[in-house]
Amino acid sequence: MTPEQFAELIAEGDAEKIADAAAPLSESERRKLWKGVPEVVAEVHTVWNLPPRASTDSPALDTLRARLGDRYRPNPSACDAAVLAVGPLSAARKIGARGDVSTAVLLKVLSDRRPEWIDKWVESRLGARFPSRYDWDLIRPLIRHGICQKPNSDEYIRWMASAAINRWQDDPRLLNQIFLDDPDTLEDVWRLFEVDTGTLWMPEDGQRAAMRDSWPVALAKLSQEGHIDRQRLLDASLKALSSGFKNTTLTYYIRFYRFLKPTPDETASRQQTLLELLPNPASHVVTFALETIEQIERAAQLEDKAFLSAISPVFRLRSKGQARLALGIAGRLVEKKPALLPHAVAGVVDALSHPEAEVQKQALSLLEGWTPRLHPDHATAIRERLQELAPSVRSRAEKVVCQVRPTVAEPMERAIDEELTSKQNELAREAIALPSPWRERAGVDDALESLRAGRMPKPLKFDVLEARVLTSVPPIEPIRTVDELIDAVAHAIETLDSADELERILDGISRLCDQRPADFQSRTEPLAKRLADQRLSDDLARQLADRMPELLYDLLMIWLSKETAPPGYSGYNTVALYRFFDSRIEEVIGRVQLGRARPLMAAPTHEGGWISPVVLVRRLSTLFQNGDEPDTCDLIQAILRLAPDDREMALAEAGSLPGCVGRAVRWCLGSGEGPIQDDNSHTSLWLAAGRARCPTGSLDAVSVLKVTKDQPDALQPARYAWKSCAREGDLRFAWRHGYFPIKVTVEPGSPHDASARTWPTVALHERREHWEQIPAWQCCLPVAWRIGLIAQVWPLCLDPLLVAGIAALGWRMDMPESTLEPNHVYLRPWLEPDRPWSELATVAIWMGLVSKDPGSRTTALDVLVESIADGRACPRQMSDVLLWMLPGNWAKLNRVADAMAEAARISAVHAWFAAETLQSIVAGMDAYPRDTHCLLSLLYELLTDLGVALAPETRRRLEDVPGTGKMKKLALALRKLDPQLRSEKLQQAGLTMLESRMARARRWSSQSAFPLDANH
Amino acid sequence: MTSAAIDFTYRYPFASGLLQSERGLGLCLATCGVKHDHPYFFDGRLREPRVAGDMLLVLSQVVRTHFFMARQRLRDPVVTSGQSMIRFEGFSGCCGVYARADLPAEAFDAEIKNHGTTNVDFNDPMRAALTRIRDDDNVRLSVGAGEVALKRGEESVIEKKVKLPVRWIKGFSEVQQYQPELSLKLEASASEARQFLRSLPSGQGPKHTCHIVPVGRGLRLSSRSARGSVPISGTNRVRVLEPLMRSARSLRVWADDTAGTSAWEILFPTGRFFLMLSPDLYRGFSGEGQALQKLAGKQRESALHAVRSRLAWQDQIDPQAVAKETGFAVKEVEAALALLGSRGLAGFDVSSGRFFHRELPFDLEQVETLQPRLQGASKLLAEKRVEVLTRLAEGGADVAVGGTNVIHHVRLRPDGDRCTCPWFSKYQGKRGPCKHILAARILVDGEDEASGEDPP
Repeated sequence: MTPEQFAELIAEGDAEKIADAAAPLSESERRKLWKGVPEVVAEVHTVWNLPPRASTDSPALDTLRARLGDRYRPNPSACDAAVLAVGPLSAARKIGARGDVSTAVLLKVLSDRRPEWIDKWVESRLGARFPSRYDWDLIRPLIRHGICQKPNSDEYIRWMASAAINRWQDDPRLLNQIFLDDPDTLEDVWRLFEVDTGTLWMPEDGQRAAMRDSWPVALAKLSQEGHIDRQRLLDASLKALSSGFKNTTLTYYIRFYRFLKPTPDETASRQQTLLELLPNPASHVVTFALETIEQIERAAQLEDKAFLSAISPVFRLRSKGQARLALGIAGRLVEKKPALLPHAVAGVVDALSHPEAEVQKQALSLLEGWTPRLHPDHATAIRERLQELAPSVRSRAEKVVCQVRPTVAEPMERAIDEELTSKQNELAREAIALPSPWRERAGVDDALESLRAGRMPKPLKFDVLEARVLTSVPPIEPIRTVDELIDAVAHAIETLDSADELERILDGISRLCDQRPADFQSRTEPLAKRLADQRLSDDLARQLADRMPELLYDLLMIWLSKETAPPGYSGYNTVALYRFFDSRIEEVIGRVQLGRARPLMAAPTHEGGWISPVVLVRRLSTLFQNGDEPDTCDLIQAILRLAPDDREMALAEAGSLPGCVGRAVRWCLGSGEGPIQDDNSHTSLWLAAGRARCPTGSLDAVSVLKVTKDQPDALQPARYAWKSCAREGDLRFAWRHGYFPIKVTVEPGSPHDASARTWPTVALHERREHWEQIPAWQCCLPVAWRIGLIAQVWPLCLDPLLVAGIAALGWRMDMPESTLEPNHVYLRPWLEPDRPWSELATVAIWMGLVSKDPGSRTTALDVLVESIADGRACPRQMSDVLLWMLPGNWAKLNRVADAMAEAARISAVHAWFAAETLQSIVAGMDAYPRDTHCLLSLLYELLTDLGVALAPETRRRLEDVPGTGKMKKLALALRKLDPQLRSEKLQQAGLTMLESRMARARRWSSQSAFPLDANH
Repeated sequence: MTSAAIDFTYRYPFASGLLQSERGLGLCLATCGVKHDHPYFFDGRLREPRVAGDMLLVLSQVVRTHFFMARQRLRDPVVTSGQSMIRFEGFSGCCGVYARADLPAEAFDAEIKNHGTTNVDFNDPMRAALTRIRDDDNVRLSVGAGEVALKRGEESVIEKKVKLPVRWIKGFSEVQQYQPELSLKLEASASEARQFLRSLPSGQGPKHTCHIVPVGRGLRLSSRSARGSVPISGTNRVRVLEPLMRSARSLRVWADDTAGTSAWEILFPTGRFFLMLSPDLYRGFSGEGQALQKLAGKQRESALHAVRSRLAWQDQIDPQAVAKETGFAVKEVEAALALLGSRGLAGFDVSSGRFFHRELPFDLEQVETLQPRLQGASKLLAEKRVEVLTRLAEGGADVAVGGTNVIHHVRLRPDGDRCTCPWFSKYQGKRGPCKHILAARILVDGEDEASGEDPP
């Protein structure tokens, strides 16, 4: 046969003919025939589904078609046969899995040929992503007839398991019959317990499982009929639990073991294997092992010493169920046989390290009962764990230690009263020396008075305008040179780190646009090219998430090459707030085109978008001295970013600022010289000045100008109302049906005036058409820098930002964090110590605390921890907000308790705060949700630790706890708590709070270290 | 290139395991060298078997885990038998976590028989057995086996065919580059550390980089940095340490503020466990290219050969002693050691602040030839697409390097090189030099060397 004849056979599309023709050929003859095959096969794969007469661009096939006429019927199946018949391994590996070719033909081809590469080919088939029945029907006979070796790989087992389950409907046999028909495979079934195939799936209900034809049912039948060993099956399913498979797979093995219904003797004979499962990292495997061991124990067949020496690893699991089960068995064993005590103690002492107080209590109860027989070494071991014990257990443990080894116990109480009193006196002397009004504003006087009266100080209340925020946020270093600017732009083109960086670049271009070093062109050419490429890029992530403001591309192109960039995506140009940003950039573009360099008025001097008022006044003075005037949007943005610091000093310097701009700046800094009717053409400027002067009040003075009244944060401040909405189904899919756990309404409603473009405080409230809860500026994915940019529009008032933040946090309440939704950024501004908590902020912080999203939770916890330390957080406000949230039934109390416990471990102040908040929550509850015990349990530990009794209102509320369960027991225990005469911890907490307030007063009264020159 | 992998077969004469014998329990570790030899290093009684068992378990957990994708790896740890220390090392499947368990001579009742580095078999049954070891057990540890035992086990040869990605081997080597830059940041007692580890969120933790901050008498995870804080990404990578805390004495946390790496050292009464994390969960140590500049330079070859010839499985290499022996300056010796570290021929011990000798049991020659950036730089030079524009009197030069349809401007400066390519713009040198900078450096330093000048 010649290669041409063989090619004709392929074009005829008859696989059987190919098989017959190739059968007598030697390997060298086959190699010769291969010569023309690749080209024909490649062309067939391109054109095979075209009509026979359709014209193709396939020269080889066209020739064959002309030669064959009606016999021309190429198809991939024949190609597969041809490749396997004469091709090398590399070509055979490329054959895809198709069901339309007769496996019998391929089997014949391979049986006749017996290629030396058959084992490697089989391995590669098994390694395919989706092994199919096609492979099963072909490869199994190859193995059975000895044409290839049985593969030893895990893939073979995975493939066998899935192929047998997914067999075609034309195979009516039950699974066990398939294996009986191919007995060689019976030995392979054992490897189903060594390889994670995921095919041993079975429902929890054994009866329902028995109704299906599945692997577990087939294995059970094979064992019942004596084809495979039942004992080996039981052993294998237990052994598989130590394999490190996925948790779901382990569940199937557990169910399968139970499905086999082992007899008590069979179970008892496997107790060593069960004990070996106790260190398993999968908690459900340990539960299974312990439950089975408990059955053995109840049947009095347990090897007690072996069990007692194997329980320690159980206490490494975080969940308490397994630990309690193990302790229960240990307790019963020692009770029955006291001689076992020495074997049990080590494990029980280990249980004291468990994080759950209930486990610690159970372990300690056992140890208390065994105290007379404990060895001094045991006392040492218990003592080492004292620090980690829950406060309610610690004192009991100390007693055990003292009883067992009195010499070990050190005096636990020290005379620290004197020390505290002396410290209090010293702090009082320092506090009085602090300057007024900072001392009063920082709450130092209140803290001092409270300390003297033996109570805790009230939460610190202050207005942001009274604070000196610039003393606590880092300054921004402006870009100084063109070199630095080129580097910053190059980096920003690839990834924009923050809104601060965006503002630095804008300011850098504005100040340095007239400087062009000799090598500017050569150094910036690659940047210009990348910019142009990016603008046209259709990369989804770039389009949605990481993209710079559209006009910034134009600005950069004009700065780099005096050319505009090609038009790109412009999805958010209809949003008023983005139009405001665009206007700011357009102002810079105008100056760059003219080569007029000057500083940007709105460039923040400090992180978070803040501008020092003195610096702004000096920037404006320099500008006017140079005969220039500020740009409208630049000035509006600059005024809205004014920090509350040093406004009086700035006002004194602003006297020389001319015209309407001068009056507006002076007014926002505190002068009485407000707008006049002639200022109508500068309404936007006066509105911005008003909102910088008084962020949350009415701007009656501006009403002389033409301003539409019903706009939020224009003449009147926006008013917010929120409600907790009843949970609707799974929170993870809330976005699908537009459910928001909390709905915030803003009065007056969405702005409608076209002038909102230059009224950024109003534009912040613009809503999306069909999504009332979502601001219009959220039309782009909220990447971190974009949220930061919105927060910098009006740093004095972040409630408009929080409306979006609360919606975003609500949607991810029960979901892990997403890189595309960095919700923690909404909470970050409250890490600044001079930003008071508004009600919306408290809502957002609670949402972060009870969220499953670890990023939001960590940041919310940081905010809480810092705010407790510096006095901004208020227990009553926190509890009130949570009580309003609870009716929605989506805030889980165990998460509330976890967050409070995490905060409480920081210091005595934090522990006191958490206890106060929990007491208020409990006292204010209308009903007791099922997980209230989480709060009560933590409250009990905190009050025990602090040495404080319940507040009267909480005590009254706990009198009517229904039932006899855990909640009732905790309520009783809480009511029995006796207060200490003098709680050292509370006294220490009071001193810490005083120190923190003194630190704030010192900071606020300090001179600014920031250079107040116009270049900042 | 990043997906390049080397086929490797672990071929062990028997399966490692914990066996009951007349002399008590025996933890026998099967060995497999780079040429499929089976070295026999050690046989002795463990003084604190539970601690050693826990350390080996956690090490094995690290090696088997890919910390951000659900993939299980079949790779094994390597063990180095030094002059008075047995060190087990491993590298995670995601290339972002390096772990090492150091067992000093005091941890054993025996002497080390031979020195060297080899792979050791860690299998599931052995892992399960390790969890059952207790302190009052009499456990012998043997690394490798004598000839008699090998012959007896001939029929139970264990073969594990794996693909070792080049980036994994590169990372395993390059991680040593980071360690000399670490400084001690935080310390905590065992119970404080235990409480901290328990407080970490489940799963991978926050997506953004968080910080470990000292608070009161413990540590906590915070979303912002503070003085003395340690950055961390992927808190699940630290949680693997939890099982070790039950018998630990204390925890020390090291960090490199510039690179963003952190290292967690758990101290035991005898021995310690060291865990090093890459700056980001999704970014392994491999591909960081910290060593590329050194690999690119040829000027240190003579010092390198001299220092390498002095390596004799020391647990601590004293650069001053080596300098005295070789006649090179201490700085040159230190640079040579760092380079040997990046080639997998030395490890670094943060506690002692010294390198130790070990040779990773892989074909390391292949790794060096597969450095994609180095290859790219060589190609640029071969195609003569690198041109020095200006040379500066204060040291440094401006170089034009051909890119894709554009000429990149490379500035070589004593305070740091810069390039206009997207890769450098994005990472700002934090992941080592780009191929353009490498090519420019090779050209300029080569010319300097030819003219007898010292490169900057």
